[in-house]
Amino acid sequence: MAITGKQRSRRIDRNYSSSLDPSILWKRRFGWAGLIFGVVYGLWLLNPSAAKQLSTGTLSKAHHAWNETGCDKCHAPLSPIKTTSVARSPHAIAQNNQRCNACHKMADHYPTATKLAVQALESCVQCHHEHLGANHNLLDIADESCVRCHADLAQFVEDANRPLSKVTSFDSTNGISGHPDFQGLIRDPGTIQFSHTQHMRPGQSLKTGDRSAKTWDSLPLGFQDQYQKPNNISDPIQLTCSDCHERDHPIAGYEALEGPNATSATNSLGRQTNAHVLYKPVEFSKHCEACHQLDLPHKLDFKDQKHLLDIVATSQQQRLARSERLQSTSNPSESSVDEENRLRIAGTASGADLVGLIKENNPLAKTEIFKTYACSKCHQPATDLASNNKLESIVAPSSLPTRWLKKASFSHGPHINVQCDDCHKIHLDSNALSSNDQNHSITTTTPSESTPLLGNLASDVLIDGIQGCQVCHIVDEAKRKEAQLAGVKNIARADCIDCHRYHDHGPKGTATGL
Amino acid sequence: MLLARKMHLHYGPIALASLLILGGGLWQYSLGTNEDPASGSSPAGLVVGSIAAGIILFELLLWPRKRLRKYKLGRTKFWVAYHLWLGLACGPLAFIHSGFRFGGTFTTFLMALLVLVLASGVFGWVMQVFIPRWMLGNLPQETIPSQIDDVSLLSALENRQMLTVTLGPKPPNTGKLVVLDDQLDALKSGRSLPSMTLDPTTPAIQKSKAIVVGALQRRDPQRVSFGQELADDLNASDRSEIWKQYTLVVEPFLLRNVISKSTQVASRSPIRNLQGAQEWFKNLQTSCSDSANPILIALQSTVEQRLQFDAQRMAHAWLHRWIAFHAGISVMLGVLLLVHIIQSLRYM
Repeated sequence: MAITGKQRSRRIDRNYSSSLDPSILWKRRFGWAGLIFGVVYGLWLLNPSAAKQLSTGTLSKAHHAWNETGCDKCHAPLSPIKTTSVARSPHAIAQNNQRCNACHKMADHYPTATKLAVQALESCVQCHHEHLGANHNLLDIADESCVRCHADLAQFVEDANRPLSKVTSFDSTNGISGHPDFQGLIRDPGTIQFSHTQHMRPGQSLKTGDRSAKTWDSLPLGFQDQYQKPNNISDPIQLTCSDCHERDHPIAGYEALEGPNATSATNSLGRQTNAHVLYKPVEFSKHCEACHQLDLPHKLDFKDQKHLLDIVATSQQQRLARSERLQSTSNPSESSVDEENRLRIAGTASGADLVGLIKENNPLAKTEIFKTYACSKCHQPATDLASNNKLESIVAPSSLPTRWLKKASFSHGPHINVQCDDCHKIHLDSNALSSNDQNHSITTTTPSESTPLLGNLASDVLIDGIQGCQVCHIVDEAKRKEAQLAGVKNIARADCIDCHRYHDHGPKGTATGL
Repeated sequence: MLLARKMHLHYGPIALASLLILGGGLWQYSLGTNEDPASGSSPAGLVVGSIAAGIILFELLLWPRKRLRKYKLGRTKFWVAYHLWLGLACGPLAFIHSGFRFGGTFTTFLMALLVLVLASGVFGWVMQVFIPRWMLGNLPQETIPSQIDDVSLLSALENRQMLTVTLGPKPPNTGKLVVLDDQLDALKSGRSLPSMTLDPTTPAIQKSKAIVVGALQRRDPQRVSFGQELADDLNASDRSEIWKQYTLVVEPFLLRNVISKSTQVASRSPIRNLQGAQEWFKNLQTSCSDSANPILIALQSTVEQRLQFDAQRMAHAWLHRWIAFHAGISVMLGVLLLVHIIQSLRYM
């Protein structure tokens, strides 16, 4: 039976709207409940014990204990901790930094070179981001932390007139120049005369096939075990990098490659370590003396004149005796080494003269010793050698840096899978050892017009420049893919923090917190 | 409603504004770097967060606006449009403000609340679009939800009146009718319906009272004449059977929620759904003479009306109950947002 709208309306009470609909009732109830819960929860948050609720995220492992102790350990109340905060102020940042410095005694970053106003706005949390979870590494600093200043240092340093590099990235991207060349590799400050090319030649001869080539059996017995024994002991001895360059920390799994009897292998064990940073300085007694035996101790003590006189007199007697013996047995077939010794002795003071000079405490004594004992073969004379009698050494300091990149923290350990000659380019003769022959591979390079012949001169810096690093260390994603397609195996990141330390700028470093 | 009624031209600008706000927020976020991600305290984060907070507080104004509607603070449809579109934009803005991180317990709770508010709001939006359209097509006898029980009661009274007129007084041994005096008084005075009890001493409604109640119905000539025509054609068996089935099955079903006991009976009633009701009435028609068909059809009509009311009640629940949840957590969100702002100013 159909009912019209009019009929239907007649059946509705006119006062129906005064009755409360249950949905409205429940809406009010829920609304009040939400209001009450929100107010109660908000009031509870004012309680210090509830401060953890307000944390914006779990603290890293380093600060994990303070997840429970409230915010005031690190946050100064009503002081924005971030330098990017709208309400930042030097006073607020200083207050918060003090809380960090209470535990972390960190050096400022070039405090004398940086403007005070800039330093006042530097906050610890600008680079070290907290509240990003327990596994977040606080030392994983993004490049932007450095680039925000180093993109244009002139705004931040006191002396803006000096040459300042603008660095935005390690590699050049989109026409913006990248990291400048390494300043530490511009020249070799060393004073030692040494040819890598000659020493990597079989027998370390002056020329390939020279009869003066050293053989294993010609080495003194005490040194023979130090070098790899060839199949034929009368063959010229072949040095490897590790014969002279020892790691500062042995790497597990590489023992077989370090010893004198190292076997042929490729260094692809995949064991990277941060323990091995640099190579130890070359020592004469360990790495040179097998071939270069001296008549005097390598480091003479000039303070004890009596002792000096004794050893010089003794050595001079031995040298004169040997000289006489050589002269009596001399014939055209003598080796070039003996010939060289003979000429050297003939051109220097006689034993009686040298002893006399020492007795007289004559300043010329040191000059004569320098000439007589062939110090000049490797060393340069000390400054004022002839006039200054108080010199403790007759040779100039070697000045060979053990750490070439002084503004970076290069470590060899992570680069263990890279061939030595990938970074240390040395021109070798074609019959020198190749990568297939030895553990520390030195590939034979063919000199070309564009490639300088490195390694023959002592002044050659045998460390590749930044171009060598940029083969593997690539920032730009597109370039990384290109390199991958080009067959580069060890593609790596190139973050600023990989090489540089913000708090370590002194000669010895002050990175106590790292 | 907003989508279905082709109001794009009206709501397009605000939707576009929301998208622009959202795009601006994303742009602000993109200005952040790995070193300095757009967090809440960064200038970009603060701008985006302030916009999101402003939107949330604006959304809450819908409640006071309803209280103050006598001041005519804009048209409702525009308020709702702003509420919906800005509300949708505020969720992503809050995520941008947070740097797409949930942060700690409080901020996570705050974000969860916001997500729940948004989800319940979107759910309600969808409900408000589709359910009214469905009701329009499927519930032609729709009435005011709060009056469903009253209308059902009146239907029951009409049925009693119709049966009394057409079948005569209720015979003995045909069940017990409910005493509806209080309910009738309540209806007349405009109060809510009191609960009813079964009274064995009152076997049936008195004709005089039925006429009083039927004062409403007396304006329905179709129904009055319908009862008078059938009165003489029915036999005693039909009268007894119809009264019996009405007393035991139909009226308890019509008065469910009005009589406490009848709710239980109705839940097991053979006419609790449309298919069952049609089958049940078909069987009843079979057992009665053809003369009773008009009466049975009238009864079936009231039962079907009641079934529509039940469906309407269900639809009404889907249409409105989410609002309680939505409003509750919205208020909570608003309060905690203020706490968040205060604490952020302290430590940002």
